[in-house]
Amino acid sequence: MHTILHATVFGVLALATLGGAVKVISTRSIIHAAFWLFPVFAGIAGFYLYLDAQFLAAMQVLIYIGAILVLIVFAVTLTRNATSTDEAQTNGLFIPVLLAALVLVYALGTTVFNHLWPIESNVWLDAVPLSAAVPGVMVTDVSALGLVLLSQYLLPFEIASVLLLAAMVGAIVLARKERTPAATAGVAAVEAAPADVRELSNV
Amino acid sequence: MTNQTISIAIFFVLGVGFWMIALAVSYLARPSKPTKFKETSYECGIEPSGSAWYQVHVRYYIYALLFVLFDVEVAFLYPWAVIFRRIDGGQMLLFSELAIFVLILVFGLVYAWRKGALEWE
Amino acid sequence: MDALRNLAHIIWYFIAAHEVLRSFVVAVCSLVFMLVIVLIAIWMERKVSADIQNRIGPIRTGGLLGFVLQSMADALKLLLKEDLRPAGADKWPFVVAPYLVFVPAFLVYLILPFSATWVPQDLKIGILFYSAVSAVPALGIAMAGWSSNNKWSLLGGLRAAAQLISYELPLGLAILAVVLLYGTLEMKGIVAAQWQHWWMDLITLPALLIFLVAGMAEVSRAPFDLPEAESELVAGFNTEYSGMRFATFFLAEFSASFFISALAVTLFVGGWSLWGVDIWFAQHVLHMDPSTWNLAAPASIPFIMKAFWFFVFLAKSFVVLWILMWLKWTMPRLRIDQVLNFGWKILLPAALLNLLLVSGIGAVLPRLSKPLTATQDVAPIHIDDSVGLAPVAQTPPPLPPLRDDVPAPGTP
Repeated sequence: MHTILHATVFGVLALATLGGAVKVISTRSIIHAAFWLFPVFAGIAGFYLYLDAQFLAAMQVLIYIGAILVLIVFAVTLTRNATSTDEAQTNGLFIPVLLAALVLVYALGTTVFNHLWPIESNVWLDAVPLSAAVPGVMVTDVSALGLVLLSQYLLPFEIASVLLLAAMVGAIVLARKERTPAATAGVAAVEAAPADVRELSNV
Repeated sequence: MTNQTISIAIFFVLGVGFWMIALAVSYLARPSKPTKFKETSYECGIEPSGSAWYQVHVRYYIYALLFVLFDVEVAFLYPWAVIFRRIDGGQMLLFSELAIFVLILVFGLVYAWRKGALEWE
Repeated sequence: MDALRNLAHIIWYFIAAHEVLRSFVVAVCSLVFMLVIVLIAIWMERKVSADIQNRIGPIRTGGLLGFVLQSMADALKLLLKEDLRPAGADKWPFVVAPYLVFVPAFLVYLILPFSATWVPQDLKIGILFYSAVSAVPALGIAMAGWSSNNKWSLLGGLRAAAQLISYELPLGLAILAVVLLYGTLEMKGIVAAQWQHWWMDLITLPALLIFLVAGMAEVSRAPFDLPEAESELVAGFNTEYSGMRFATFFLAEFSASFFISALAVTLFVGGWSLWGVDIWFAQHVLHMDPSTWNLAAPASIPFIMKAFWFFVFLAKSFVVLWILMWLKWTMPRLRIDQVLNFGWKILLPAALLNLLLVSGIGAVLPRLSKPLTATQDVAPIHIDDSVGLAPVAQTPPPLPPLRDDVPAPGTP
């Protein structure tokens, strides 16, 4: 009885995640590809909730939907033909991407199948909290996360800030040209252009 | 699944379902006589010229990029904030751990500021 | 036949599980509450704006009953309006976008503590649920602006998304100051701590200011209403929406305005509590015995007190909402560059500074009484001593958790 219910929930979430992912790579307009990421991210957040990992679910929504997806939408609006459906779907990198995907699948697969998960299969179907299955191994609690983050994993925690800093500096350097004379000349050229052209380029 | 998860799910389903029903009721009650002119997009009364899907300025993207990084930072701060006053002793250490974390990112903010990434132009 | 039996089983599972039924009833009540609040807020907005502009406001519908009938008339009108979609619009994003705005606006009511024990669901992640869910409308608004295929809509949508994400940071940092002081994410715990220590609200006053300013920007109210700046962008991201789809955005905006006021009250102004005056009143005027009250056991608190706290909460929230409206109708609109500059260059550093300040104060204040592992049903985590954090006690002393404490009468 429970199994049916859980299978339904799992099926709906899996459909949203995988169906969305398939649409992301098969849809022809890249703005739609960006929008289709929403069910993918939301489905993953749903999985976290389903496994009672509320903090992870909140982070998934906060960061992936609230920040990264908005970033992707902005990135797509930068492109010239966001809605165009006659761009080529492939860029000739089929073989390398396939290899990379296989490596990823191998790495994830070995982890999934070799790791000693602290629960017997099907235990979770009966809504046993993960933390109760093996005491002291899994705690889905924010304060426990804070404790290990700031003691055992302090160095990675601080390194994360350096990583964020590096990303920030890199982004600014890439996205923002220094005001060189050439760039200023470009601006002057835009300003000298007819009004309707200028309007479009200065949105 | 716990009661809390089920609560969230029920709220979600009710929110979506209620608004679908509201739209359906409206669909049955409202008139629907679309004409060519009703379906043009509004540009202050004159005929729209061209599509609205043009390239936008890069500045929106830069703000979004900075936001992603600071959002991740705030996410890291939540577990820290929850335990800060709950553990016995070590507050100064916890405080300095966080201060280092925040200062590194503030350095990034200052860098962005100095480079003009926070300017709208 | 088998499938039918399974279906019956599933339905039975839902009804038999008492908690599930409770959740559903609570969800329906929250929805009704939200709709009623929006009706009142719309009428209030019209009356407050009229008052500020030296007008009378709507009087034709209902007279004294105007606060019900006027808004009902507005809603009915929207329900009966033709729903148009521009021929050039991107159909599916155009249809989906309103849901991405409406559903989060409703979902957040899940964690709002209306009264001492009246919380739809006191989630473990509490306030973080609000932070996460309220991040979604930025995407919905960008989607609405993009899919309309209207230049004003696109501009409005992009501006709105940029503004929403920029002000989420100070908002989150202001919330963090509260989380840090009370050491919990759960909404019940946050209010109970303020009930117990009313003076802690003074520490979070600067955070309240930051929260209110960022909150006004989050709900796009003037002076931050430039996503729908009427005089420049027609109506911004919802220019092409009409009828009920437009009502979605309208409803979500008013609901969010009330919610941000209610959240400010809950986090910074004591929520449903009256800072101990309620205890005094119950003891000396109503001759009750507050020492028997236990927030963890709802039945131990008389219904009359819960109802009283509910009205305290509503009154406080509407006062804050009125202040927001007052600001809205007296401030001119900012420019987009001013908005983003203010958010990134003033409000974000101020919020970071405030957080450091509050954590400095929090380090000096006495520890919270609740041991870290009290609520965990597992063995405590071992902390490496060499790092310097004190190890968590193996067997936590049987102290009552903080949020279930009831202040002894007469003590602060």
